[in-house]
Amino acid sequence: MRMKRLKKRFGGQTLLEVLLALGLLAAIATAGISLSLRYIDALARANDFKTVSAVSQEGFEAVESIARGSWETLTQGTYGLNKGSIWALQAEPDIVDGRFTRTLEVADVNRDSSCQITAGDGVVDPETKQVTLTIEWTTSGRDLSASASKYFSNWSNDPDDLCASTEAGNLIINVDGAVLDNTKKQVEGIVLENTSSVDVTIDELTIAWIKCELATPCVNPEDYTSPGNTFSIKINASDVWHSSNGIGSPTGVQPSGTTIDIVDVVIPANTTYPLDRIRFDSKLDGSQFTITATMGDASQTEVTTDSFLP
Amino acid sequence: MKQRHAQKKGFTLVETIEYIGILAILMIPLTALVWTFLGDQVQQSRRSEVTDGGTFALATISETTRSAASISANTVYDTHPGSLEVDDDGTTVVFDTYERTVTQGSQDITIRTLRMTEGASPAVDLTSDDVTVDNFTITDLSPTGATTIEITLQLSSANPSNNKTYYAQNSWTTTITLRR
Repeated sequence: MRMKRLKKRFGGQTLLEVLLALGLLAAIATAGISLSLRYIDALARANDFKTVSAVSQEGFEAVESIARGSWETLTQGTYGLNKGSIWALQAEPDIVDGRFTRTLEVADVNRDSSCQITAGDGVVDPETKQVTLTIEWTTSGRDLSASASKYFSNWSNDPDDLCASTEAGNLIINVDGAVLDNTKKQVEGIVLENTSSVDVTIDELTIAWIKCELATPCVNPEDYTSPGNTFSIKINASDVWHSSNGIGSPTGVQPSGTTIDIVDVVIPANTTYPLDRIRFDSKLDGSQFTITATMGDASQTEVTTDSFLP
Repeated sequence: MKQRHAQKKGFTLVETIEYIGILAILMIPLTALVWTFLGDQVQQSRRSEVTDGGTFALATISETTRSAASISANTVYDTHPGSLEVDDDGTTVVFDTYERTVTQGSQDITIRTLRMTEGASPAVDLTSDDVTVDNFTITDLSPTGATTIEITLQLSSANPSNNKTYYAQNSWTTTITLRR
């Protein structure tokens, strides 16, 4: 009886206590292992991100090499990189260190009339490309990716071509070959050169002329006259202004110095158009002409010919 | 008396052995974990030394070379130890390696150090006493119209006792294109 009482009072752990202890142990162990695994995973991810950064940097330097070596190969599309004796683009993504897949996306870049990069509007600037580099890899069974983007410019071309500040800066009115025809009422042989890689638009032309008639030689402005009127203007085989048939404005023949709103002439990139003729209603031999072109962006360029000797 | 003794009885031998056993079961993995953690800390520190050293050295080489006017014909390509010589606006900058002896603990060990020499100025070490350069190779990847090189750099921790805990190694391959 006494033994029974003692046994009851000083008995060992009950099954419930043992289970509770084991449960606690399991919970602590699980938390510890989970924490360790997370620590190891975080270390692996951190190391992978360092590698990804290096792989991206190498990729952009390789693109810089390609851009400087052969800009024309940098066309819109998706590529990988191929390292032979030089860096080159390849159709498929490349795999670095057996586990980092590197993809390059080359995209055209548009610029607005202020030369600012714009999404969608404006015109494609062939001297600028946007390259987006994406690295994809797997860490601890998880698929991860990182992207970075950079603009590249074709520095091998004349910097003026990269992004001219105005349209007028891209237009040359070449009067080296300008002549008066046999009637002496028509100027021919002027050439309009768009030297840039973007289109330019001529909106208006101002034709002014002076003839030395009142003094020998002419010294002062009052020694000159401006006889006759402008009758019509033809560029690249099309009338862009005509005094009598309603093309352009104003209508009617126009005196020297009048700004004529011609039908807009768009000269494509790196293209030359002939200014076929400027016709007048009088003989203008001995006159010196000044031609001012006002462009689509309101910028202006001006050129003056020598006097056309009689 | 007997009754009182029985009432105030401490742990039985079996209970004590049980507790020691449980403690041992808990302590063994815990000690191992702490030991591994401490080891990891040392290894991580060595790894950082190697990684930071390599990153700094490559950043310095890349920045100088990118803005350089040209790469000199004195550059030693395709072999370790290589040497890179660039012309930086009239000043010659040389990146190469040299061997030197350093003391770690009580041991003298020979390590290879990456250095930069700018003009007539004294050379500046780019890697620390705790790491050695295993590989410094320059490869010419220049296309027509541009100058491009590739640098392969491998560093490891100076580890005279070949202790696994103190071992760390990292390698980098980077491309540099001159901007002028």
